[in-house]
Order: sequence, then C-alpha cells, then structure tokens
Amino acid sequence: MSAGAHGIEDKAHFRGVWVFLELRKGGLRDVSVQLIGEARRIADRRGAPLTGVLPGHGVEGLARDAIGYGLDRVLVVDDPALATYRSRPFTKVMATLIRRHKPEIVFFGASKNGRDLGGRLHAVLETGLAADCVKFDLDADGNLDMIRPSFGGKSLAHILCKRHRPQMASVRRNVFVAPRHDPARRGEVLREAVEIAESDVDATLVEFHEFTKEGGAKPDDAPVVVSGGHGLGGPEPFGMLQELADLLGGAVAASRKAVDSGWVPKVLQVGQTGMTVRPKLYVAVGISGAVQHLAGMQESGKILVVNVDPKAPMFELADYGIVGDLFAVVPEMIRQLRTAKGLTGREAPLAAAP
Amino acid sequence: MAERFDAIVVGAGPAGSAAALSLARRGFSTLLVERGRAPGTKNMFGGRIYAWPLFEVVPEWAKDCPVERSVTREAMYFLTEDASLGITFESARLGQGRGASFTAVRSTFDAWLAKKAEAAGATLVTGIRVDDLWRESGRVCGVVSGGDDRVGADLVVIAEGATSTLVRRAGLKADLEPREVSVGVKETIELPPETIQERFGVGESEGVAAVYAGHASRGLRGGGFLYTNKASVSLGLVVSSEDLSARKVSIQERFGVGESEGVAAVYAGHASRGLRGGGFLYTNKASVSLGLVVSSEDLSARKVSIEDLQTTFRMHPAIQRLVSGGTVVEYSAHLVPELGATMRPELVGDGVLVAGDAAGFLINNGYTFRGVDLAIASGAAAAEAAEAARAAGGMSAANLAAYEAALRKRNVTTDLERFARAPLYLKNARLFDLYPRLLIDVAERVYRVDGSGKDRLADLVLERAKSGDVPKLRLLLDLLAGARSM
Amino acid sequence: MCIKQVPKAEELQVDPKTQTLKRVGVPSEINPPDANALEIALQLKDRHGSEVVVLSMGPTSFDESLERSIGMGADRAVLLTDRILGGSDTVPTAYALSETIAKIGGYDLILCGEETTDASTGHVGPGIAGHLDIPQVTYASEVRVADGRIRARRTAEDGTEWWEVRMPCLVTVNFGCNGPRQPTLSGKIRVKRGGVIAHWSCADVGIDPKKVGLLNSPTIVAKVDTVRLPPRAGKFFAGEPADAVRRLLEALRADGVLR
Repeated sequence: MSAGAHGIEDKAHFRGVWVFLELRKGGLRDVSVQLIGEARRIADRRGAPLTGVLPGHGVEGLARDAIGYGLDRVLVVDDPALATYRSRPFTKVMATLIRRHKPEIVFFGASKNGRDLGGRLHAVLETGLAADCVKFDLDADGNLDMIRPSFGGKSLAHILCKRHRPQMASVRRNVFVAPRHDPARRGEVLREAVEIAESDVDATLVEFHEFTKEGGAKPDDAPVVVSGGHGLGGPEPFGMLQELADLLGGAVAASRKAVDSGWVPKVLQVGQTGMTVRPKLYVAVGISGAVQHLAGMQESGKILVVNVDPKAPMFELADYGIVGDLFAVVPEMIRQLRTAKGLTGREAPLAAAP
Repeated sequence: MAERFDAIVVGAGPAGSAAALSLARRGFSTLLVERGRAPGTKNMFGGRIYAWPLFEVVPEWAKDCPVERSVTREAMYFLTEDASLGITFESARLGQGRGASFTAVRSTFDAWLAKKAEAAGATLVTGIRVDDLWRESGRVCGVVSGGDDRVGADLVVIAEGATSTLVRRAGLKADLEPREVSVGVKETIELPPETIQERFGVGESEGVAAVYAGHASRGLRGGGFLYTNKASVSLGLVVSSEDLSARKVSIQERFGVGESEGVAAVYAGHASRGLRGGGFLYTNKASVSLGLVVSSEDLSARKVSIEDLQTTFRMHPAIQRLVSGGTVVEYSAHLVPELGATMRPELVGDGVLVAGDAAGFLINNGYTFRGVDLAIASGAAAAEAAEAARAAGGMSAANLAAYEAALRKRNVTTDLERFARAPLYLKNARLFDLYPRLLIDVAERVYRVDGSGKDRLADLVLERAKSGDVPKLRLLLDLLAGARSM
Repeated sequence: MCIKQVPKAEELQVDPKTQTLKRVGVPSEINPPDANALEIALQLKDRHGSEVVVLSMGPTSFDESLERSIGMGADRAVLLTDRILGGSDTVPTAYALSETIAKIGGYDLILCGEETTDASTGHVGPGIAGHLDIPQVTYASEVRVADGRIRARRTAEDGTEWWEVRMPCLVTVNFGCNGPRQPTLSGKIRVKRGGVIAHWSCADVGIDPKKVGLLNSPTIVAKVDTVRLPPRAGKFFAGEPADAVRRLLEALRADGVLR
C-alpha cells in the first residue's frame, strides 16, 4: 500500500483549495461548475489560491475558459487515455498531483464518476472524504466544516477531518448555484505530467448508449417538478402526475417510498440519497415530508403540497397547500389546466400508466 | 445432492413439535419446518392447555414450561343482554397431577416446545412454507418448497393446522367445507396480576376458565370464552362459519393488528344478531383470554361483523365487571375445525401421516374446548407409528396403520368419537338464544321476591317454555339429546 | 461479496441522545443494494458454478444477514468482527475489508452494493478496489462473463456503458436492478448444519489496530444541529376540489408562478 498524504506530515505543508473538474460532452459537468463558486468562497476565507484540476485530452481551451468561473489556475493533465473517465488512471492522476502539490482541500462533484473516483482515491490517500455535503464552513482552527444532513433526523451533521490532509468533500448537483462566468478573468493554465502506463488503462468501454431526451425534461433540469409519494398507492397514478407535469411544462419525480415500493425507477427519486432539485415550482403529491425528502427539494422556488393528512410535515414547507384527496384534486387540476389551454375533448383525464 | 432426512414434520405448532421431538428421540433424523418467522407466531387459541400429554412428551415439563396460570376454577354462564346465570366448579383436585390444565400464550408455549424438539436433535427451519409433497409413483418421499426446492424423507408428518393445504394435496381430504369450521376471535386484555387475582378470587399462580352461552354471541352458533393469564385476560368468541365467503380476508386489513402477533388468515362472512355460538374466558398470568365461538353461517345470514360481536360480548355487565380498566393489547383470529370425528380426513398414506388440527383433532362439547392436548398426543402417536413402521420394514400406509392404534391408546380417537355429535348438537339454534333466555327468565322469577306471589320452579319452567313457543316435547328431546352428546 | 446489515428503512429511528441511528432492538435487513449484488453473484453461480463467499464487517448480530445470504444460496460467509473496529469510517473500513479479502484469497470478482441505506457514501466499494489495486466498475445493473473477462453494464448520467475488465476486479451494483431471491429450505438447512459462517478478528486477519476504529478514522462528526428552513407563505385552499383548485390556480397565476 502506498504511503498516503497522511496526517503524519505537518498539516501546515498543505495549502490551497482544489476542485476536480469533470468532463461531459466537450464541456464541464454542471456540478463541477457549481462547485467552483462555493470553492472560491472557501479559498478566499482561507486566503489560499483556488485551483481546478482537469484530466482529459485536448482540454486546454476548456481549462482556460474555466478560469472565468473564479479559478486562479487550472492544472491540466493531457493524455489520450484520459479522454474517457476510468477509475484507475484518474485516481493515479489525482493522487500524484495531490502528493506533488499538497492541497489542503479538494472538492468533487458527487456525480457517478465523481463518487467512483472519490471512493477509490480517498482509500489510496488514506484521508477523509465527506459525501453529499450541502454546506461548508471553517471552524476555529481553520478546518473545513463539512455539513451534510444527518440521516433520519431533522438535523445537520458537521464532519471534520482534523488530522489528515487533504480534506475531501463531495457535493451533489444543484446544491449550489453556478457562479457567473467572467471571460475576462485571468489565471494560469499549467500542464502537469503524470505517467500513465498501458496497464493503468484497465477497463475497455465496449458499448455506449446515450440517453435520448424522451418524453419531457429530467427532474433536476426542469422548471417544474411534480413529485409523487406513498399516497399514490401504486405505479398507475404516476400517469396522472405525468399528465399534470406535461401541462405545467415540467417533469415527474418521486419520493423514496415510491421508489422503494417499486412503483417508479430510482432515477426519479428526489431526496438526500436521490436527486437535489431546485425548480421554480415543486408540487408534492401524496408525500408526507420525511426530512430525507426535504433535503432534496427544500430550496425550490415555490412549493405546492397536496395531501389528505393535514398533519403531514410536508405542509410546513408549503407555499400553497390543499388538504384533500389527491385522486380528486389532481384530476381537477388537470381538467382546469386543460380548459385554460383550450384543450377540449375528454372531461376526465387519463389515469393510466404512461 | 438434495438434502435428506428420515422424517420431515410440516408445521411447528404443538402437534408438529411433539411429533418432531418424539421422532428425534427415537433416532429419526428429523426436519421441522415452520412457515412463520418463529413457532407460534401464526397460531392462536382460546387459552387453556390440558397437560396430560406433556407427561409423555416432555416429562419434566413443569420445570420450565411457560405456564400463565394453573386453572383451579371452571365456570359456565348463560347470558341474555344484561343478565347472567352461572355455574362454577372449584376443587383442589383441579390443577393437580395428570388432570392439570393451565392457561398459556401460544407464541411462548409453541416456541418452548419447538426448542425442546431442537434439543432432542430435530433441525428447526422457520420462515419457509412447504408448497407441496414430493411424490414418486404414488408414495410421498419428501417435500417441495420455493417452486422446485426438494428435500427428501421416508416419512412426512403433516401438522400444518386447520387450513392445511398439504392434506388436500396428499389426497387425504377434500376441500374444507364451510360448515366444518368456525371463526374464533380473541382479545388479550392486559390487567395487573393483583387485579385479576382479586376480581376472580384466585391466588397468584391460579386461574379461571369460563365459557359463555347465549348473548355472548348474540344467539349465533358458538360461544364466548374467558381465560385468565398472568397479566391479561383472553376474551374471545368462536363462531361457526358455515357460510364461508370466498374472500380470504387478511387479519391486518380487517382488524388492524400488527404483523407478528398470533395472526392467521380467516374466512369470514357477514353475520347478524341472534347468532348461534358461545364464549370462553381463560385467565393467564397477567391477562385474561376472553373469546367467542360463533357460527359463521349465521354470521353471514344476518350481517353482523365478528368485531361487533366481540365488542358486545366484552361490554356485557358480567364481563365488564371482570375486565374493566384493562387494555386490549392483542387482537387475533383463527379458523377452528368444528365437526370433530365426522370430518376427519384419512390420517395415513404411503410415506405420510396427519396430526393436530390438520387432522381435525378438536373437541368442542359446549362446556370445554380441547385442541392443543389432542395435537400433542397425536404428535407422540405419529412418532410411535413411525417407529413401528420402521421395524416392519418401511413407511408404507399398511405399516403406518399403527397410527390409529397409537391414537386410540391415548384416547384421542375415543374422545373424538364420543363427542362427535356435540358439534352437530351445538348447531341447534335454540341453545344459543331461546334456552339461555328461558333459564335466565326462570332465574329472575325465582330470585326476585317482590311480594307478587311465587310459583314453584317446575311450573315456572313450563309456563315460560309455553310462552316462548317451545313445546314440552321439544324441550325434553333437546335435553335428552344434549345429555347424550355431551 | 460484501454486505452490510442495516436497520430496516421504514423502521429508522434516531436516538435522541446521541443523534445517531438506533441499531439495537430495531429490525434489520441486508442493505438492499447489497441484496441486489448478492443476487447477481448467485446468478453467476447458477450459470458458471462459481463459489460465492459473503463477507461483512460488524457486530455478531450481522450473522442474521449472513445466514440469510447462505439461505439464498451463498456457499459460505466470513464476518470480520472485533471491538476495535467500532466507529470506523470508510477509510479503515475499506482497509479492513481489503485485508480480509486478501486473506480469503482466490477471488475473481468482488461485488458490493452501490451504497448503504444508512450511511449512503458509496465509498467502500471503490475504496476496496483502490487498496487491492484492481479494476473497478461502479453503478452496474448487469454482470456477465465473456472470454474470461467481466462485462458490466453501467448506468451513468448520460447513458448506459458496457465495460469490459480483466479479473480480478470489483463491481458495485445498482439498487433495484434485479429481484433478490428468497432463501430456500435447502439453504436454511445448510445454515442449521453449521460450519458455514466464520468469525475472524483483526488479529486473525493481520489488521493493524492503529489503522482502524473511531480514533484512527480521518473523519468525525463534530456536532449535530437542527435544520432551520426558511419560513414559507402557507396559503391553504379548502373546500370542494373544483373550487379549491380554481382558487389555487388563480393564486399561482397572480404570484407569477404559472403563466
């Protein structure tokens, strides 16, 4: 096992805030950009430079452009082997650079690749990684205070990595808002050499089927989200929610209970262990409002809650609320919205599965 | 290579555990399979166990058997809406020696007996439902579960209970007829032990078993029961379900109870008032088992729900006096096979035996209910038969015929036959409405002295019978039939 | 394959005193994504006759899940159980499990669930791959063996990827990608016969005590405080659905939420 960037060395040797920049279709993944804003804030408070790390192939132009989001410099590692994300070579790159430059803090977007990388890397470096953070602060000793919802309670846990360096944290998409881009901002783009052997490329991408945009927006992109929970009682009523979402120009999502019951696939799950969404309007239908769910949508613009139980915790977060039977209220909403749009024909909306 | 045992016992209730224990002790490698998470979780009964078969199966049973209370008083009551006429029997000899009986909680008792079976060497597996018997050229050679998982055995003992499907699959019995079963429901009402002791007038480890006829079941065929446990009372009803509805109703849905406490699927119809039935009461250590047994033919015919019946029963002044202030901590229900000897399936086949409730080994003769003791005795008889068959060269039906003799030896079959007519007799509607009313009416006239002149007892009875439209002859015949069948 | 025993999801309770998850006296289950991973392992066993060894790290109460795994068809199980492991975060956990796997030896494929329902970090699987220095594929829904290599279908944000890697390798499995089978009677009989679950201590494996446990974990929970959410307007619309919805839509339009 390799010697890690351990607490054994003096912490004072570690300086600087890093953000791992993940590629996506010739650009940067949303979450990486969103992270730069927050990382900038932390770097300023630490009085330290903010560095982006961009492993890839032919990405110098992108690196330069990334400076505009608030980076002081970007470390580029260019290699054809890095054109596609793979665990081992990317871990090797990050570990090498971290040992070389000794940053104090490293942020990762908690995308699939980000988690894949962070998980392997933190074990190799033997340092702390806090997952799915929603907020950051600095404690009295200058340690990074990594804040995440505490499972099951109406509380937030403060995670510290006091003795080991770097302190690493991952953040899910849409927890932070992307910073403005300033094309005139100046910064350095540095090429870093990291040896990548053939044996490091230990995985072959045999096939790739891209997801096409089918039937409406995805929940974490949509301006309106219509979300269904335990109150729906089964998969079929989600067809009704889809219809409502279509009328509102939004996407369908679900609570964890609906996913765990097998009514909808996990990709639709909103919550601490699912997606974080911040639509203009979040419609919660038949959702009781467990804290884990709130963690995924509490920053929505406006929240409309429909639930038969007046005591449902979800109502505490409601800008608009209807206490009633969703099987009466939702079809009524559909009917009135259709009428308003001049859509004639059926009186009763479909409740069949899509 | 499929797993294999000398014997597989299906169902870890009293019959199954007793069979597995006895088989293991006789040197059979034995598998005991229970579909519940633990033995007893899917079982329910009124509340009292007669101990005599335990002396054979677990001689040292008194040392660690989870006994609630030793029954030292027996009672029988006739009820109208607001009056009760009772007979109690107390004797120091009750509760002693081989005649002892005690109240118990099934989840603890069944678990105890299953543990004894394990200690004797049986392998206990829970949480698995046996779907079918494994058969080759007509003889049973094991069991099938989970679709296609087979485990082999020379002998399978079916001890699945009243709703046994394997008995039908073994070709030993036709489908359950509605008129063959009753529906039993029971509430366990928590009360401090001292309160129970005070209200029932018993000592610390003593208890009461009581049966109730008449308004307990609002005239439906069946009866109420009450048993005192340590710190609760088991109060319930058994109702004949002659009109089983096709719909299987889950107890969770129907009665809103949690998953793990004594729950089973029940076939229940709707019912009406004046149903034939009776009640029972057993005292446990800290609870009283109070229940009703009601004809569900009547239940369906007259649209009364079993919960309503149970509530009416519990609210009767004679009962309220005993259980008021207590908390209902458990609500359970079960099927009760009712026709005794006349509905028994074939008990023996090539490689297969049937024991316990699955074999219909239950006696309800109106003043007492017996099931658990017969189950345990039949389990012991099954093991004896298996040993005899092994000595005779194999588990063929012919060799296993020793089972009948073993049952007879323990008076299981004899008692069943003797009381065979009781269930049929108990279907006489007059018993559950008319006659209790008549008795109580008479009692009131006898005991109420208000200066308006008194008649002799016999005149009172006859006059009352006449005004109740019961011909003298009919009354006599009923009395006679009752005496002979009970 | 690695599993963790977790409190049943509907039964999650927080101990008000310690602000941590209550584990004692709460019904437990195999972490659901681990059950999906186990199902993949068992399907591979059905197809290729491989041996399936289930590994877990935790208190002896985890035997319940290991027994269930063998009831489902796994060949044997190892529980790494030692008091000194208490309070380990994902770094010591990945280290300890890796050392145990190395000791078991002879592995071609290591399977884990994508994350646990209680901690939800998803770090340990990749951490193990890092320690053992083997290829990893995360978030897989399907695993096949072809030409002596492992092929895994990975679900990423942008699409489905089929990856091919050499053995030995590690794959983490998506929650809900299959229907884990029920334990069988024969499986449960095997459990009862005994000798299928081994308990190993850190000393048995050769795990360095200075690298595990609460005090040797890089991260700690410093404190926990209550969430304070911004107050919301809370306009309620009562009455008949048709009327309530009409007024609701009016309000949404008036506030500019709906066009």
